[in-house]
Amino acid sequence: MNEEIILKVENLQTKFRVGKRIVHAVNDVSFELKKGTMLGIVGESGCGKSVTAHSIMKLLPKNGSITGGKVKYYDNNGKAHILNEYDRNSKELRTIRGKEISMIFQDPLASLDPVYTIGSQISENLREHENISKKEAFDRVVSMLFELGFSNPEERYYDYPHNFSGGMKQRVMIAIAMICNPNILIADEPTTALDVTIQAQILTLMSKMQKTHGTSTILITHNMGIVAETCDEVAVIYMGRIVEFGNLEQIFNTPMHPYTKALLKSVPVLSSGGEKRLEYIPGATPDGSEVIKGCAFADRCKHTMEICRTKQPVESIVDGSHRVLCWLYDKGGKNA
Amino acid sequence: MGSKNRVKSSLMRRNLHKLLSNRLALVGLGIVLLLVVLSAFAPLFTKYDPSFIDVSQRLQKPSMEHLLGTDNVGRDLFARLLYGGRVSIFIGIVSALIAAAVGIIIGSVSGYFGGKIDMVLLYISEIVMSFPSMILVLVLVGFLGQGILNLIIIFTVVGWPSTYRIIRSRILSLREELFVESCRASGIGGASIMFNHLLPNALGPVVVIITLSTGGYVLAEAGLSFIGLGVASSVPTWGNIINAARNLRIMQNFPALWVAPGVAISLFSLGLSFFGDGLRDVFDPEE
Repeated sequence: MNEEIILKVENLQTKFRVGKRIVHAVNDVSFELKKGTMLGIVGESGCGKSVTAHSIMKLLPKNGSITGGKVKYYDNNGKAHILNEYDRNSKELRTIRGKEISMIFQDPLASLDPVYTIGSQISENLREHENISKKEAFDRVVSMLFELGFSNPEERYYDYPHNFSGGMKQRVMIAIAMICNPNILIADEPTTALDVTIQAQILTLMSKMQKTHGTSTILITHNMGIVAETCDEVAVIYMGRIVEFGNLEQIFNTPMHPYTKALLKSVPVLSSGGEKRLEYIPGATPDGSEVIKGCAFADRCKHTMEICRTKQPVESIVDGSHRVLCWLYDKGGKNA
Repeated sequence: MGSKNRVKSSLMRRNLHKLLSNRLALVGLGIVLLLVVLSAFAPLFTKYDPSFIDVSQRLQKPSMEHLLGTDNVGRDLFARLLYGGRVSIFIGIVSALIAAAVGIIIGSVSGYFGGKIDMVLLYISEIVMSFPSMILVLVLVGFLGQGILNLIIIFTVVGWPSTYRIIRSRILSLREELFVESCRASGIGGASIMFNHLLPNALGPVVVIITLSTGGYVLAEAGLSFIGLGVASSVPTWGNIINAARNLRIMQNFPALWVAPGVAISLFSLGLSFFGDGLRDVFDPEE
């Protein structure tokens, strides 16, 4: 749409071989990440949101592979890299990982190597990608730690991961991810393992970092509240497909897909008053190894029609960037 | 948090404290250190040459002149014990270190490359381990012959699989840890992840293996020397000293000649066992 796009994922397909079965984790996922914005990828457990993120970085386990589509990354010079065509451990990919695109993981408690000080782990990433002296690296790490709210960074530099609490470790992970000033930060459920008070702190910090450094961010979460708080655009994923994509207002004010609506209804709202019960989505996510003829949500949907069970829905453009994958809107969409 | 006299790693301090509060481990360490110092600085503790034969002084009872008496050709037993300890302990420690080093290298290769290489190496280690180690040692001595160097080679050949298997299994499980993936997400290369991140995390138990196997090799050397298959009998080792006392008359009338080296061997390997158990408690995350 405009030239500010930094990451373009087109019809991405990722499959896993589990024994004899093939699990289709990501089916035909397409989205664009605009420069300097935060994209939220939302969905329930096992819907393929993490796999999408790992596919972008080609950090899939050995039994997983990208079987179709393209992941295009536009670097600072406007050069397009087709990431999925690089070999998984190739030099090209390794110079992009950590330096241009970095990643934060779900569990900060296990993401740090227990035998090294956190300072050396942060500067390891820095010195891997930039040719600078130890002293310069130390200074950069210390100022990054200070930026992330450590009051005594010079001393904290020499601490080991076990000296830190979960929230602090996640801040260290953010430091590792941000130290090379990447263009894209992928945060894979960065707050899931943390308690609620720390979640807010980490999210505020991430928004702040995103604004001050202009990093485009992909935030993966199952929490609609977090999305509302931080994101500019939202992709709702169900069974490895983006069922609805739009900006924050579109998704929250005029949700189209029954799944998005259901997700929004299942978020507790404190101010709602009275005894309003939370709604849940009936049924369970289908098995990813089964090939579903129609819409994967059909069995759990309130509006299931005949066609939903027989044909995979096509994407309808609601208005501008707002698109939805549902037969309900087929007539109104121009793309039908 | 910000106190000045903070120790760099409280984990290290905690481990040290744990080790220091284990009295048995400390006693073990004390015995081992005492024997090592006595042997290493043997000339400071005795004025006799362990190989000097003085037939006029043969089979003396313990006295101020000869602390533990003399053997059947008049060599001072105390001097022989100290100098013998040098060779025995040297063989034990060097074999344990080399065996561990070989195990670490092969284990890393195995864990790093995986696949066919791993399978082949694992089979080789299983073949070595499927022989009773003493029998394998005897066979290898038969091929290679006596000698300090040969013993070290043989102990290494027999001993590397234990370290190998631990390193390999640790690396296989560590490979799945999240911090490895976050390293990969930072663009750090495979070899660097292997040697800078996986290996240091896998090394803890190897220290225990080195300690315990040192004692084992000292015992094995003594056993081999006793039956005349270890180090040439001209070189004093703890095993050779007992071997020299293998004579009914000496056994009955001059017990110091075989009790003393026996006690030295037992104390040394017992001390290492105590210390090794203490180390194991420190490295055991379950505790």
